[in-house]
Amino acid sequence: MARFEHLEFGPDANDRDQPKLKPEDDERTAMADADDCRRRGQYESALRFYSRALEYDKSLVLSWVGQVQMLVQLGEAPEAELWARKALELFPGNGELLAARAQALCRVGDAAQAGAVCDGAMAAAGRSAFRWQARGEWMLACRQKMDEHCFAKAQELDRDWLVALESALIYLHYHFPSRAVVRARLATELAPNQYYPWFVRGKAEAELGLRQPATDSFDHCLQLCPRHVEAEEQKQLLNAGWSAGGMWRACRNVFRRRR
Amino acid sequence: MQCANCEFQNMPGNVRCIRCGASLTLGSADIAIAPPRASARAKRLRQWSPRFLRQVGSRLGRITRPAFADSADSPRTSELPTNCLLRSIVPGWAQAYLGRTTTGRQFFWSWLGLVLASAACYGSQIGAIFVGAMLSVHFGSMIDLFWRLQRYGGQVRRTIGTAAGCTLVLAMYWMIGSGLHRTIDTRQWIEMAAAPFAPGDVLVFRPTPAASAVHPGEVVLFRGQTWTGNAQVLGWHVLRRINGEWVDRVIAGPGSHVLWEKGELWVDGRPSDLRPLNPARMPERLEMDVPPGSLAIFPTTDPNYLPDAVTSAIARGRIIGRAIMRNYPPWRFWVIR
Repeated sequence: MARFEHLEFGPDANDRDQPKLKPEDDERTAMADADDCRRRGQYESALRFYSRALEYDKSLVLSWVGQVQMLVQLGEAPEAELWARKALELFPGNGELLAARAQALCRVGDAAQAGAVCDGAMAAAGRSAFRWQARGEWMLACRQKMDEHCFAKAQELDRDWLVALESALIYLHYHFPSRAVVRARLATELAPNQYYPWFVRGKAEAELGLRQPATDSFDHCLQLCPRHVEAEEQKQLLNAGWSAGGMWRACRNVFRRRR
Repeated sequence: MQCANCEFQNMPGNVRCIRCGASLTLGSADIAIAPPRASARAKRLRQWSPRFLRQVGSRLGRITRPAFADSADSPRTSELPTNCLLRSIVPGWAQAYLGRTTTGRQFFWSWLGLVLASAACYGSQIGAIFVGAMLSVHFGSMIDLFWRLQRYGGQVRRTIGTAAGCTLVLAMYWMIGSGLHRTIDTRQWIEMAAAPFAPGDVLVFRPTPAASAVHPGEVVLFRGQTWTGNAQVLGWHVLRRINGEWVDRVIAGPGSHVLWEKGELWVDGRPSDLRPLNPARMPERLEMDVPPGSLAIFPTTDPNYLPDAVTSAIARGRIIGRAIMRNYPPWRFWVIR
């Protein structure tokens, strides 16, 4: 009968004993792998895992958001903005996607439009730490003074150390090393056994000119992950004598505003 | 059918969520899930280029890129004055196209006046000032055009206007200037000049790549003989070295026998109508044989010494170009024939 065609029943009794592939397990695995890579600072791999998760389920909004976030972290802000717009076509008015697009717009340098998109993200239903982070980044891009409140609000909504770490990365991007150090320290306090927060903390301290604490942070990072090439490089740069690169960085730091 | 975007429970059979409009058939839809990536070169360029240039590049890129069809908050290209971009080559044209005729006329006439003034004083210092003012007017017209983009913030408008203005100046005026410089060049007599020239005169000439194309009768700009000798200046014995560029008429070609006597010119035994630019500075009598590869040019505009058989034989390599006119000062305008 036609009226019962759409009724859904449980699995067939004959199929119950047979092991079967669960597609939701695959997308969950991909998302978990992406999250792992993200927490280790391996943004290229994380981006691949987010794409893999989308292969299983295109309706996973978090995967689209993750892709945009990874593109931003990889320094491909114009592509991230384009991709966020495409995702917003599929999920109109989604707060997370709007926040991701606002972040990409901030990195591109279009603070005016970023502000409008950020307002849209805050007005959308639901609350999340990422929206407050995007808000904070927009305030940093506009040189407004309420950024710390936004990042504190993000941390309040989500006590995950990743929030503190990504806040530190945002501060580092906008050359606010003193504020980045505070966030990175919080991340290392929340997750002392993770090496990436130590690396970010070392970078912030190095940018602030704190050589010994930076060396200690890189040492800690190398202790947790002995094959961390970037930490090794940063440590060598700190301990290197006079070099062209060092001179250039020193000159650049002279003319850069300290915050 | 739960919406993945807003978690609203839709009726079975719906294609889009009735609350948020998100697609409910994403599972079966053919959508690209691989994001666009920047090439390594583009990333390197972004890393090394100044932040200002990156912002300008991305904004211009967004203007030229078509917006997504369904995206409500994407920029609409139709609102941008793409029709005006080409018209901005002539100041005021785009303003007139947009209906601001008075502003357009002001820009156009002030620009045209400055173009004419800079052409009249081409090669002089005042001419350079006019050229600068002309560029400023053109630049200002572009800033004015982009300032009307009310949809965008002040920073975006300023950035786009400045970028477009710089591009215009670099692309258009630089190309015109370099092309003009190769076709027509100028020389200004700063301190020394003999009649018919005076200090401050600007000579317009056409550079000649092939000196062999110069024929008797033409007025040319040439590099004069370098004169070195002892002289006494303020009671001091000094070694004096004089060289410079002078203008005069080519009297005869290589291998000719030239005789100047009592104001009459004879070339190869036949009378010639050609005269130097300042015959008053010619000696009573001058006889010379023009060496091969040289031209007979009496340097009568050179105030340093009188023409003789040595200084009047000018090697072809010393010819710089054909004189066209004296354009500055305007009251001494003279088409040199």
